[in-house]
Amino acid sequence: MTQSFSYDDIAIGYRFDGPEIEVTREMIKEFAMASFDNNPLHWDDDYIAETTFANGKKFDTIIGHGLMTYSFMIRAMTDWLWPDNGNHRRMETRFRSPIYPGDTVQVRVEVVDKRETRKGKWLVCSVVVENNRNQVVATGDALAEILR
Amino acid sequence: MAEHTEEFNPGAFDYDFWKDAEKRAGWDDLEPGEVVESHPVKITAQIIQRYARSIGDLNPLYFDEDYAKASRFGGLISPPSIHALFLFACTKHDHFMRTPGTVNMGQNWWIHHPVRPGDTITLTARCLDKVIRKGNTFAIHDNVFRNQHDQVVCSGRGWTMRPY
Repeated sequence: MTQSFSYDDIAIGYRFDGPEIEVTREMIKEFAMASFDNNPLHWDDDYIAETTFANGKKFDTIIGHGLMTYSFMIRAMTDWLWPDNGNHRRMETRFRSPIYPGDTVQVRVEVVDKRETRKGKWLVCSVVVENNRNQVVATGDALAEILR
Repeated sequence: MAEHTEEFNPGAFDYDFWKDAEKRAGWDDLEPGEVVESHPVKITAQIIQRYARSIGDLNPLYFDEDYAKASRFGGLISPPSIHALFLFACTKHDHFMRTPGTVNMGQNWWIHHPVRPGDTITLTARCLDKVIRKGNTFAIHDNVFRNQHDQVVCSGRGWTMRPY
């Protein structure tokens, strides 16, 4: 959990590291079971080997769920905001490249804008997920509502 | 539909991905604007906690009842990404999110209220638009999740690359 802060404490350009996570084959399988998304793209090597996806796309091996990556990005926000700093309100993601079993991914967040509206105090955040080969696997725009 | 408002039993979920696969819509079959069939799901602390563990997120707000009760949330809640689970738990095997060859390209969800153990979540889901870009066929879909109080708990859009 992070230290408490207020809206005025955070300047544009503030950065922090979210979770660093090693994604194993077992983890992908557990996510498939827990999220009920059991598409064979995430667990069946034979299916991956014999399947060509849209536009001739092939994958080297099974891949992690985009929504699992999404959950890592949101966790960066909730670890920062909860319990008392604010609420995660929105995440818009673009999945840039797959996460493969054995990859270690790091979530990074930067506050890129601030806005006080009639009813709220908002931090606009840029979220990036990189793998251990320095490839960007996902990017996102997040919105945090700050409580005080 | 009534049986689905009973507590959701993950053990009874049919994990056979290929069941009814031939009935799932390809890009050609999607009718933008048409709401797909779904059913309400009553969620438990155990299902939330299994989901949270699967993403390595052990926030005490999901696990520690006393801690959560003393927090501003007043009780256990779930990770905001829990709606990934409802996309699949609330829909039938022939739902277009399960069409073989579908790849999730991006997602944006607005979180209104936390989902809590005991909530019954209803999903309104549809393909909203479909496009061809750089030779690929994509669908844009929207999802609105409501709880048993008819409060919207989450709403947003996603886009998938999918076979035709």
